[in-house]
Amino acid sequence: MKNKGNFEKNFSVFLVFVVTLSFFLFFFESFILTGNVTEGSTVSNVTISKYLAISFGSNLSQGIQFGNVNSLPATDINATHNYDGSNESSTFFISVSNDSNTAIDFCIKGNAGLTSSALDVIGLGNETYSNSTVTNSTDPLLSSQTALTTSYAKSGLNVAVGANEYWRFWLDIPSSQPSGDYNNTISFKGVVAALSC
Amino acid sequence: MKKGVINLFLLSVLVFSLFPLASAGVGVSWNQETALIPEKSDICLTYGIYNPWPTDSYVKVKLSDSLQEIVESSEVKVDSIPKYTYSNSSIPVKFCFKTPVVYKEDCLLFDKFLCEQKCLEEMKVYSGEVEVLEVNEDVFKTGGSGGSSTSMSVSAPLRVKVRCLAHSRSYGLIYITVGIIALLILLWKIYKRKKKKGKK
Repeated sequence: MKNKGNFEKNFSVFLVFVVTLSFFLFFFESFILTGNVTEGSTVSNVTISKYLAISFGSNLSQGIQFGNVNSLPATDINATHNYDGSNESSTFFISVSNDSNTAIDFCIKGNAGLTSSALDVIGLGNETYSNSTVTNSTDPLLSSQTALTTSYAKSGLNVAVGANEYWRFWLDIPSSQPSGDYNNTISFKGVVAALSC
Repeated sequence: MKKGVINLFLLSVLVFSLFPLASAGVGVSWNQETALIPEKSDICLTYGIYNPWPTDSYVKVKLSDSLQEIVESSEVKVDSIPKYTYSNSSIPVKFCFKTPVVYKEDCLLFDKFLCEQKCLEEMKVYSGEVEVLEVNEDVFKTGGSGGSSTSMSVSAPLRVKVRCLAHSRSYGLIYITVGIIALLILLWKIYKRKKKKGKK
C-alpha cells in the first residue's frame, strides 16, 4: 500500500518534470534568443537602370514588298526599298533612340513562308536578308544574305545609341510556284546587347 | 518668289529622301531584372513603357510563357503611348509573381511533420522576358506578288530565382505533444485524488 503511494507520488513528480522539460524545449526551439550587436554598419546602395527604345523607318513600317514577278524561276528579287535611298542605299532601317542607355542587338524572324490565299507557300528559306550599320550601293551585302527562320536570329549586333541598322531583303521563287499574292509577317526585336533573343 | 518656293519644295523632298521619316516606336525601361525570393513568396516588378518618337504608338505588353506559371497578377492597362513620352516619364507596368513550393523537404511523419531542408537541389530559376510589341495601325498594302508585313518589339529580361531556406529537423511538435499528454495525465490524477478525498 505504502509502495503504491510512493510510486504514484514519484510518477506525479516525473510527470511534472516531463511537462516542464517539454515546454522548456519547445520554447527554446521555437524562439531564437539574440544578443546585442556591438558593431556599427552603414548601407551602400546602387540602382542600375536600363532603358532602350527603337523605331522603324517609315518604309520598313509599311512592310517589305517584292512587286510583280512575271517570269519564273526568279532569284534574288529585290524588295522595293533595297536601293531607293540616295546613292542606291537602302531605306529599310530601324533607329535606336537617343533616349536609350544601352547598345542593342536586333533579332529577326518570319512567322511562316510567304503564303497565298490558296495556301500555296514560298518557303521561308527563299526569303533572305542582309544587314549592316551603314548603307550604300553595296552594303548591306547581297553576298551576306541569310535565310529567314521561324525562330529569332541575331541580325545586327551592338547597335549604338542614336544609330541605325539597315537591311536589304531578297526573294527566290521557283519555277513551279503557282501565281498569286503571297504574304507573311517578319518580326524585329531589340534586346540589350549580348543577351539572347 | 515662285522660284524660292520651288527651291524650298525641292530641298524638302531631298531632305526627306535622304532621311526618311521614322514611324512610331516603342521603348522599355527597368531597374530590376532579377529577383531572389523564398518559396511561397510574392514579388512585384515594375517596368516602364515609353515612346520618345514624334508619333503616338499602340502597344501590347507580353510576358513570356516560361513565366506564366508563376504570374499572380499583372497590371497592364496601357495600350497606347503618347508621342514624346521619354524614359524618365515612362508609363509603369507592374507584374506580380508568387513562387511555388520548389524544394522537397525530408519529413519523418506523414510527409508533413518533423521535416528538415538541406537545400541540396540546384537553385530553381524562372527566366523570361517582358516584351513590348508595337501594334501597327497601318494596314499592310498588298500588291503584285505580295510581300511581308513587319512588326517590332523591345524586350527586357526577367529572372525570378527561388531561394531555398535550409533548416534542421524541428522536434517542437513532439515536445509539445509529449508535454500536453503528460499535463493531461497529471490533471487527471489530481482530479481523481480530489474526487477520492471528497468521498472520504
